[in-house]
Amino acid sequence: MFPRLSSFWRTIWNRSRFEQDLDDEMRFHLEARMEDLVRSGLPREDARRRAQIEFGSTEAYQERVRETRRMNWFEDLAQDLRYGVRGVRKNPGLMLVAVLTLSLGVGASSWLFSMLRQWVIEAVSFPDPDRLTVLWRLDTKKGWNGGVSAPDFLDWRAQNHVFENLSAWTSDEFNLTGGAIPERIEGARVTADFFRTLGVQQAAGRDFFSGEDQPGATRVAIISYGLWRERFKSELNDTVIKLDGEPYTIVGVVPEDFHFPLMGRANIWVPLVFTDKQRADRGTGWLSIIGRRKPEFAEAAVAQAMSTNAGNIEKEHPDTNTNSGVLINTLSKEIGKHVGDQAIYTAFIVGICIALIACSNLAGIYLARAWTRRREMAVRLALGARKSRLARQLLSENALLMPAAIGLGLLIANLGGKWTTNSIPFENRGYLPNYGRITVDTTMVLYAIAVAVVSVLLFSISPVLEGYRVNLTGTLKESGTSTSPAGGQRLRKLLVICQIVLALMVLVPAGLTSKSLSIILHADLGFRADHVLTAQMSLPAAKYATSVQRLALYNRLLERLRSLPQVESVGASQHIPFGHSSSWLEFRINGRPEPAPGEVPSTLITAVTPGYSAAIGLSLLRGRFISEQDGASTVPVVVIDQTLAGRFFANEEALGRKMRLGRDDATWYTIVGIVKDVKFYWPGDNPMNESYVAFAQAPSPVMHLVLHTTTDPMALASALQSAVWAVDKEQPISGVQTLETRIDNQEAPVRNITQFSVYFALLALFLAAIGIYGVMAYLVESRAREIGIRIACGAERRSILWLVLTGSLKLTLTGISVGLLGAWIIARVLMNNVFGVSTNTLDVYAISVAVLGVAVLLATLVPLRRATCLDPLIVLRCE
Amino acid sequence: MYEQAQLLPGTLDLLILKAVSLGPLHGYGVLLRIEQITRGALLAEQGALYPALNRLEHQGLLESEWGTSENNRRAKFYRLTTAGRKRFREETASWNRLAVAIGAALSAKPQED
Repeated sequence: MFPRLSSFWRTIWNRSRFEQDLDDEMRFHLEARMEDLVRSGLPREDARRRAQIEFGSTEAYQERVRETRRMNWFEDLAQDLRYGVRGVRKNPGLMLVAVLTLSLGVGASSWLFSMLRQWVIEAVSFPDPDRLTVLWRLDTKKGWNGGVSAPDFLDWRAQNHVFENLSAWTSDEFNLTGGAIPERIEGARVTADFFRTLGVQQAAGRDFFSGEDQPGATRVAIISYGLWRERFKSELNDTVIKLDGEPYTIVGVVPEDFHFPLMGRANIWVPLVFTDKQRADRGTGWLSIIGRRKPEFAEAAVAQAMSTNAGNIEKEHPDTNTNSGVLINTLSKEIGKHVGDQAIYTAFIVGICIALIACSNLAGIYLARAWTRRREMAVRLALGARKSRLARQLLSENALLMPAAIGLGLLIANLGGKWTTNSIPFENRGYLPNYGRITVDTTMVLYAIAVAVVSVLLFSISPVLEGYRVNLTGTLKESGTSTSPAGGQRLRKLLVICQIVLALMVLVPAGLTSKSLSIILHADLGFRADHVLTAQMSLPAAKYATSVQRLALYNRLLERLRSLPQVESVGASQHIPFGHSSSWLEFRINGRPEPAPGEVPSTLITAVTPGYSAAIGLSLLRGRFISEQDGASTVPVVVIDQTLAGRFFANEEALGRKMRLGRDDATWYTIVGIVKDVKFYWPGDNPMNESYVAFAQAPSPVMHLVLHTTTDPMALASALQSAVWAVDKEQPISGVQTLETRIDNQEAPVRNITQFSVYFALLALFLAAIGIYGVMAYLVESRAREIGIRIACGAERRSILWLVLTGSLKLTLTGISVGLLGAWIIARVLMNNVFGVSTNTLDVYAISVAVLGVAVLLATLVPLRRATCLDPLIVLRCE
Repeated sequence: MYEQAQLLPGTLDLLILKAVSLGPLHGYGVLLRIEQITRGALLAEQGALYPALNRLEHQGLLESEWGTSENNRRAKFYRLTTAGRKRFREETASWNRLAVAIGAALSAKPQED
């Protein structure tokens, strides 16, 4: 095979060289023969003639040599390509449009495919990812799920026989001191077997030993590769660091590519050591659990075993565990939920729709071109060309577009990937698997090539089909332009329908996400977001052990902040809206019967200073807010929100009533005020119970500082930092952000998806409109003769307009009904998590149809107007 | 003058292989060598040699190289490849078997009882 191939390549690429050699070789033969003949006594002229006669026709033998060399298929291909290149030279505009269209399709779909691959399909980078299972406690009655309590986890572990390992973790933040400036870093507390469960080998040092998560063990830590390199210069000799004031020895470093998206940007891991209180507290769920399923157990068997476990615990501890089951999920699904896998699948489908629209556009263009070339094709068929040969020629001409389109498409995909990546707010990046990997890589290139090849095949089908249908005698007899055969019309109509369907399948999801975003953006948050600076600080327990100490520090700090210029008011709160932390407590109202186990209501609870209300702009509806008078020695007070008041004090006066907060706290808090609901987690929150208690009566070590400023809040960031260091030079603060940024970041995923889908919808609409215009213009023009005759016979222009319009209306209606069905399926299957999309979205469908309708109408009317305004005489003469 | 014989179809390739097996030759040299070893069996036309040479080269049985001829001119020389040598042996053996068989067939006499 090899010599044959190499001789073939020589033939193809060194064509002129080969011809030259062949000439030389034969000339040598003739001359040598001639000289021999001369030597035998012939005169020179006779010898030359004799040599040529003996040799035969040089040309004929050269041609036969060429034939022996020819691998016909490739030779034909080369010929087709040369022919194609000639076509490109003749019609560069058409080729430019074709390449641009194809590259848009290739680019958009490769980009969105890469997003799907990096963020959903290959989200988990640990060995045997399918066996990694995340477990939550499930409230079987309300359908809620949440963290697991320490004793539940320990019981699960004790009774476990379906997991190789069952580990717990909880995200945490640490004040890292000892360096130049105190730093607050994200991390997690994990059981000692956590990394073994994931199947991760440390890049340096060692994993945690089994006993290191038991009380009394020496304090050890494992750090991230980045932290190791930057802060510890890649050295590891029993380095001791201080976390929240306690010394920890660094024993290991995770691999550079280690990333556990559910932990965000964790940089440090310490063993999770349960306190006696935690071991006893079955009511508070705070742990996340991950297990590695044994290969011999299926997921269903695991679910079965865990629900049996939960049932046993429920029987033993009915007071805390009534209605509590176990929710299990694979790690990849869990990450997918975080990332928004449905939205990404939707985006992926949108990408495919755009590629298909691009294909049908190109099909339209090439169909028109095939029509103008039908005589050429007919002549070639008449001369004996096989139809398959013609089809292949059309295909290889179109294949010429591919390299340019793939290159340009990859460029688009790369830009798109960068754009996607940059649009993710910094603090959300840690929760994304493979952040920043949406770039051109081998898989993306292969995908782009596949899309390009399939596209070329798809849009070449229609002209090829039409090429097959060429009616020899008919076409050759025809003179000039004429109406195309019915078959061609059908193909074109099908194209129009396809484009309408595809455009709707992109428009509707975009409309749905836009509507969702608009609902979110217009939601009443219940507080003032502008001109508010926030920061978080956490007092180390070692230094600030008593509440008196904590209270004193915060009072001093707030006093200092209040005196800053440009600060209107200052407050502090244990939790703030969009602050990524919250506490929930069960509550009981004085004078009401004890609720059944599992039915105890709970409320979001946060300790605030008196200034908090003014600083964040809460709306007081009745009574009063927490005030300076509420101190450690006065009556404990609570302020509730409208929702809690409406749910529990619908027909009675809430002010003055008392509630108990938490399972074990016997204190009765008197309700002194009612405030408007605050959207706490995100703007689309359902109303929930919220309560505020006085910081002076419940001093929490972790507080958020809230500054209402008169100017740009971020301008005060350094003043805030120095104020904190002025009261304690070892105290770091974190999350110095405006409240608006926090809300923006929270809304970013929805906003990004919406932006993308709107841009893509516009692109799809634009492409589809162009495509429909092209086909419609062709359809109308091919009827120009008919229209001319009708007008010449006295038909009114309006009736002709109507005639053509009803034709296009039929297509449009067919397209719209199929497209609506497709869009509805996408919305039902993939968009049921999009906020506000499940209810009353008729308007979105209606608007999408209207927008598309207008585009189609324009695309039809413009060529139609041209046709009807022409002088019939001219049209008929042109024939 | 020897009696001239036309070459049997398909025998030209074998003769070329034989000619070249005795040493590298240019096209005209192949012709002379064939004339010599067949004692004057003729090609209908000498040009027919070149499609055959090219076919054999294309099949990887011959390889070619430009060199200088005995009278100092540029000429293309053909040489047997390993595959060509192997093919030549096979073809020779099969030709000999055929020749023996045909010879035996032609010299057979009616069997007597």
